[in-house]
Order: sequence, then structure tokens, then C-alpha cells
Amino acid sequence: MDAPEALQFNLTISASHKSNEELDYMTRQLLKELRDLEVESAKLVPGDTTPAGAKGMESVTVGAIAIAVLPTMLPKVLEFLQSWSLQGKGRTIRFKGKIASQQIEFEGSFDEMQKLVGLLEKKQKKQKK
Amino acid sequence: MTSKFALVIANTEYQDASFAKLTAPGKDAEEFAHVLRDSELAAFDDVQVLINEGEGKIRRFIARVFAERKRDDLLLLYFSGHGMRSEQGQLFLAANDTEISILEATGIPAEFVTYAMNNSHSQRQVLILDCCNSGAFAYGSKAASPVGKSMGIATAFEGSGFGRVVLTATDATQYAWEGIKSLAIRKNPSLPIF
Repeated sequence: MDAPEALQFNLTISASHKSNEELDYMTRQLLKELRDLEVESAKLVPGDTTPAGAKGMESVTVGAIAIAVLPTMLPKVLEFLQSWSLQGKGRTIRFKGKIASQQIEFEGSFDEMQKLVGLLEKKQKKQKK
Repeated sequence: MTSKFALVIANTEYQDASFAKLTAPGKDAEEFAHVLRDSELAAFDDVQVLINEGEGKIRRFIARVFAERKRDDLLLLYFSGHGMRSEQGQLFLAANDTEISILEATGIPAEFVTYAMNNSHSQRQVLILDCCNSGAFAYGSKAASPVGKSMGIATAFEGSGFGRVVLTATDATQYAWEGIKSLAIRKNPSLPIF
């Protein structure tokens, strides 16, 4: 029996009244917490190539995390993310990804992501029948 | 008697090819050291300069400059070169032998500098970080003033003033620049900024 394929998507967080620096720290803290869940991988999304003359080599897209999670773990991850979004005023999360085996591309909010998961679950149940 | 000690660190060459070679920090460091030594300007008693040294040696010198000092001594640490953060946001200063892939083991963590400063008997300390992401030095610490706001530096060390001043080139997410971008504000591009 084949192992289920991990779902891969990027999540982008935003928070009103937060500076770029504060948002960056929030992203890194969220990354750490996501890794404590049973996700296959979670990492910061690289940014543009570091410009010449810069005194540093770090380049990340502030607010963005790339995550891979098995379908069975997705509800738990979404529940965690919803909880995170409710912890601070003005926190939002947007998702963008491609679920390879399902050939579904999506981009949307937490609610839209939950609807998508519901549709996928229904589809899986039909396939089993 | 009050004394003034400075450690000036700059790196332009890196063994790890992932780090871009820099040109300005070496000259900036030498010129800054010259200003510090000048008896009519900063009049520091002892100014040590490290250029393109390894992580171990830099750590030893940082530890030494803050150790065995008197309460009134003025200590200054300057760093110019590559700075970068770990995935968790901690700032690391890159030495000549720092490897990006094992940054935590081969870079100089900001926490190490903080530890040395906190454990020094000196109550007059200045830290200048001229590198990318340098504002991340404050990560996990209690800043006296928000990043980017005036901290009253001019008055902090007047007379027998006490305290710690940390100057960073950027906030935690920004690039610091060498060469053309900083030269643009100079009248004479051939001269360093000091």
C-alpha cells in the first residue's frame, strides 16, 4: 500500500498594526510551533537573491512558511492555525498550494482552506465506496 | 583612573564561498580605529583591531575586552561584516571561518556578546554593529528604547555618564550596505565613512 502523499502549501501570515520586524518574529515563532506538530516539513520561504554589497546572506519572504503535511494531520494543523489566528487582533492567514495527487490549486483564507479540506474528504469517501 | 578600551572587528574574506566577499569593512575598521586612537578625538587608551580572523580568536578577544575592567572604564566593541540570523531569529556575526550551513556552531552569536557585556564590571559600554539584520541583537532582550527611535546617545556618556548604547545599522530584517550605497552620501567616495 502506497504511503499517502504529503500536501504542500505556503501560508502567509499578516497582522494589522505590526511592523515588518514584528511580523518576521511572529513568523519564526509560528514556524517553531508548527514543527512541534507532526508535520513532514516546515521552513521559511526564501526571498529574492541577496543583492551585491549587502552585509549579510539571509533572504526570506517575511510572513511566509512552506509546509508539507500528511492528509491525516491536516485537520490538526488547521485547528492549530485557527487557534493562532485568534490569539491576536487582526491576525490573518492565507494559503496557497497545489495538492499534487488531487490536482487542485488553491489560494485563500483559513475558511476557504477548511472548505477545501471538507471537499477533499468527501471526494476521498466517494473514492473508497 | 578611568580608561577607554576598544575592540574593532571587521571581516571581508570568508572561507565559505556562500558568503560574498566584502571590500569596505577592512578600511572602515582601520579608519575607525585611527579616530579612536586620536588623542584629540576619541582618545582611547587601547584599541585592538581584528581583520579577517576566525571565530575562536574573535570570541577570545571579545571576552577579554569585557573582562577584568573597572566600573568606570569605557568599553567599545565595533563589528563590520556579514551578519545573519538563525531560523529562530537569533543574530550571528560571521567570522572568516564561519560556515553558513552550521551557523550556530561556527558563527559568533549575539547572545555571546550580550553575555560578555552583562558580566563585565564596566558600566559604560558601547556596541556598534554594522551588518545585516543587526537590529536582531535586541532579540529576547529588554531594549531601553524602541528600535529606530532616538536613545539620547549624545548625553549617555557625557562626563561620568553610565549605561549601554547599542547602535545597529539596520533593524532585524533589513540589509546593511557597503560600497556604493553608503558612498553615495559621501562627498568624497574614496574616503571611508570615519
